[in-house]
Amino acid sequence: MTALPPDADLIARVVAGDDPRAFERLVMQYQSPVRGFLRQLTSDPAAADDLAQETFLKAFQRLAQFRGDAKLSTWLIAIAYNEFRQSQRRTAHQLKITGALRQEPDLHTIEPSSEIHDLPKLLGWLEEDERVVMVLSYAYEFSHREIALVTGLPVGTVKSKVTRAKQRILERLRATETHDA
Amino acid sequence: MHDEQLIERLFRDAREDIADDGFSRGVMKRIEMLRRARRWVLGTAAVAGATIATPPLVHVVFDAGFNAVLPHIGAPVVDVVAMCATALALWFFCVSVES
Repeated sequence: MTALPPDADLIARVVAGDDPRAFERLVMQYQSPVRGFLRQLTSDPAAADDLAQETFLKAFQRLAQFRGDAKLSTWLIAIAYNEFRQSQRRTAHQLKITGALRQEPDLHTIEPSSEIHDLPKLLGWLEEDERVVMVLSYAYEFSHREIALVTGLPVGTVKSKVTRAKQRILERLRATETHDA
Repeated sequence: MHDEQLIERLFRDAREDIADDGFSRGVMKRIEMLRRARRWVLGTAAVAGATIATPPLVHVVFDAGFNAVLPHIGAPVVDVVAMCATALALWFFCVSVES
């Protein structure tokens, strides 16, 4: 397998429009983290892939605006998060129209012992922005500054959300242990 | 186990490595469609612009000497032809934007 050229080189080729394969290489390079991140947020691989496709289309259209003050992966994840939030708003609007109510998880209907090691279920107990900061911080090892860039939140708010989300997960795990004992 | 380690262990496997499985090809296909649509829009806009500019230019030519050679055609006929061409170009423009 041949080594991929560095991001800056590929970006320059895409913007110049002289290498039709350059953007495909960028997609191949970053599809896994973008799709994985969206899968963590949506818990639906098909929906996540649709959002990932939209993410790369937006990235292609806006690549000339990429200034390089953040990593390309951070920039792509920020677009992906934006796509996710837009889709959430669309869904909420549709539910409002149809009069359907959002089903909140019920403490008594989920078997606590099933939650150990079941990250999607644990993440389901968090608020949307807490889920995002935890996934980016622990699964993708983003710094607080990078998470702030992705979410548009101040760095201090990101830190407090990480702390709060950790507390909530630990509380949930302890409740599970107590239930099992 | 320390709380921090417990959280790290929970998230350790969350970052799965996802195989491309034709995803990048799908993205490139959509980008190609986007490019084609953009070419259509730009091309048709150029044609529409040129056609809009045609009637005044035709008038200049007509007044400059064409009227003397074929006076029976008349300016209104030239205007109608030019405006039909403009309308046709605008129609193409609308169709390409819609698609």
